[in-house]
Amino acid sequence: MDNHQSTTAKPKTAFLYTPDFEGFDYGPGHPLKSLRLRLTHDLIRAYGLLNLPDARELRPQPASEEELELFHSPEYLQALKNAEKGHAYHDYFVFGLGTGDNPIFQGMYTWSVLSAGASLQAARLVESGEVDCAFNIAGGLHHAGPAQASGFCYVNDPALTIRYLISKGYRVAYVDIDAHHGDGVQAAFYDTDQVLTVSFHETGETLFPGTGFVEELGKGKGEGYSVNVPLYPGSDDEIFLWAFQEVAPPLIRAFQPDILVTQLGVDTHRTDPLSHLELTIQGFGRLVEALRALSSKWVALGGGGYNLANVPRAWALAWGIMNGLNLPDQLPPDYMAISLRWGVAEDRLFDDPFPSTTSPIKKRALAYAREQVAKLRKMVFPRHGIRP
Amino acid sequence: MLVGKRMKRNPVTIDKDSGINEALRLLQEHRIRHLPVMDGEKMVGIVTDRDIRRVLPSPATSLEIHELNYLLDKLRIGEVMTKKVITVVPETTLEEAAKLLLDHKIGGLPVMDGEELVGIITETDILEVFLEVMGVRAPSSRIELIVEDKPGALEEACRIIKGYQGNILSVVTARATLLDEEKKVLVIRLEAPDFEPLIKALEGADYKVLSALV
Ligand SMILES: [Zn+2]
Repeated sequence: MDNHQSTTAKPKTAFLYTPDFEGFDYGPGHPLKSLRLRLTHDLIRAYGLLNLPDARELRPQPASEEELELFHSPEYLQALKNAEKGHAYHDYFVFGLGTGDNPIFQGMYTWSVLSAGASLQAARLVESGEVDCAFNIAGGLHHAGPAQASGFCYVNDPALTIRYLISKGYRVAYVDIDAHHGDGVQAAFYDTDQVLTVSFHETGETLFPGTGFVEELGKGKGEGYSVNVPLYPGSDDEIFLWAFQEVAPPLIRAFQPDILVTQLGVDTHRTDPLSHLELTIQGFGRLVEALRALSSKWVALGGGGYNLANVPRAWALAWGIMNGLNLPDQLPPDYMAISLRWGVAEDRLFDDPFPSTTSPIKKRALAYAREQVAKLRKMVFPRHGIRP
Repeated sequence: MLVGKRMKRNPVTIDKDSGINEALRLLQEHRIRHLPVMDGEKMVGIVTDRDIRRVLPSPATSLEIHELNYLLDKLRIGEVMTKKVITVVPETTLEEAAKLLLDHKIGGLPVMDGEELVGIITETDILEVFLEVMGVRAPSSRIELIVEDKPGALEEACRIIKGYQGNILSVVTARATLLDEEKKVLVIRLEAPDFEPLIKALEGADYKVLSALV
């Protein structure tokens, strides 16, 4: 398209998508809506980003049971299957199933397995060198444990994907910019130095899951390989980006991963109903650009994002960046016609600039970020041979 | 209007280690539908009547009653609550809060000041404000007019009403229909000594009187 400007040499990319992603429903009153995936796909298509010379759209396959068992227990997987058919009662709660966050709904197993399959496929495409970057917007379900549904997540596709990659001998860096701490992924690799997990999130003092403090460093061989940057409510583009640049690039440069896996949750946005961070779409885009600079092999996964007006814009922008393209600010009319039907009336890709303020809220958030980053650099950096 | 002005302060809460029966009792006793769940001073989730209904035995279950009771007894609120909670702050506008309730089909929002739970705002609170804005709470009459959507149309109607010693209590405007962008509906709540000449005067000034409840 003529209105796209090239920023650098074109990477080869893959976008994993199937309309089957759209067919699940967590039920009324649940903030996670499959429509966000559909609208993202619609916007990306309307921007003309699915028929670029070096980009491919691929249909994912469900993960196999063997692949799921890379991370999850067979008993838990059986419970998910039973629950999907409405056969479970007595083993609901031990597995975190049937709660407000993790309701039992038709197709929940099928959907989770498909999302996980797409993340694994993204990893295979990147690992084999077929593409430089693959994006699964249905992935990034970072809270699930080996036998525990948690925080809207039943199958932990980032953990599965990383397990798969380390089983092939790769060193993997995982960076998570969702508003919530990536607790499930951190726990999965807490005692290994083959995976570096770095999570930026709203502090556990004010947000689910209540973890992700600097002191959670990893244990045994993994000490120093779990990295957490908690941020205070009110943290905006400026604070988030500052903390990111202070922590992620030096650590990842020192770690030298073979492959980068990222969780690109967009519930950090200032209009997201679930968090209290203040990022804009352009701030999110700057983070994605900074991630892109960290590795030439990149498995990108989706994540949170509960305002339908934001998710498509954020992930279309991310996909543009993955393809080295700048997108025009004006949203394509084809997309606006579709999104209006769902009550989404955005006409621009970027938000109005969120002015840098000196409000007490901002001051408190900045002081908190400075304190956390200083503590982290002191506790973690020397373990990687970097000066704090 | 801001959430902080209309929220219920000191909401009824429940401890995360309480049982299902305790939640049922609190919901019924206080006639409420949302219970913020506390771990000490910290809010760690919310439990609604919907969540409780979900864990109560359904007729389809294959378990014996005593087994069910045993399981329900063991179950703690912390295990069934919603942990990823949509919250607002006292500075959130009521419109934003109403939109969140509607968009996510939920009935209530905890109000947070940093780490501290300071209140709860529910659909009932917002409906009350709606009624107040509509002027329904005071004894009054109600006139609906269709006007051209142009500057001065509202002022002119108000001037006529004032001319007949009318006292306007509230005015709400809305688009007349989804298709007609040129017209607006004015819903006026008012008191006036005599309505007949007032309505005639409005019609004489080319206002279409849609309805008059006097
Ligand atoms: Zn999240």
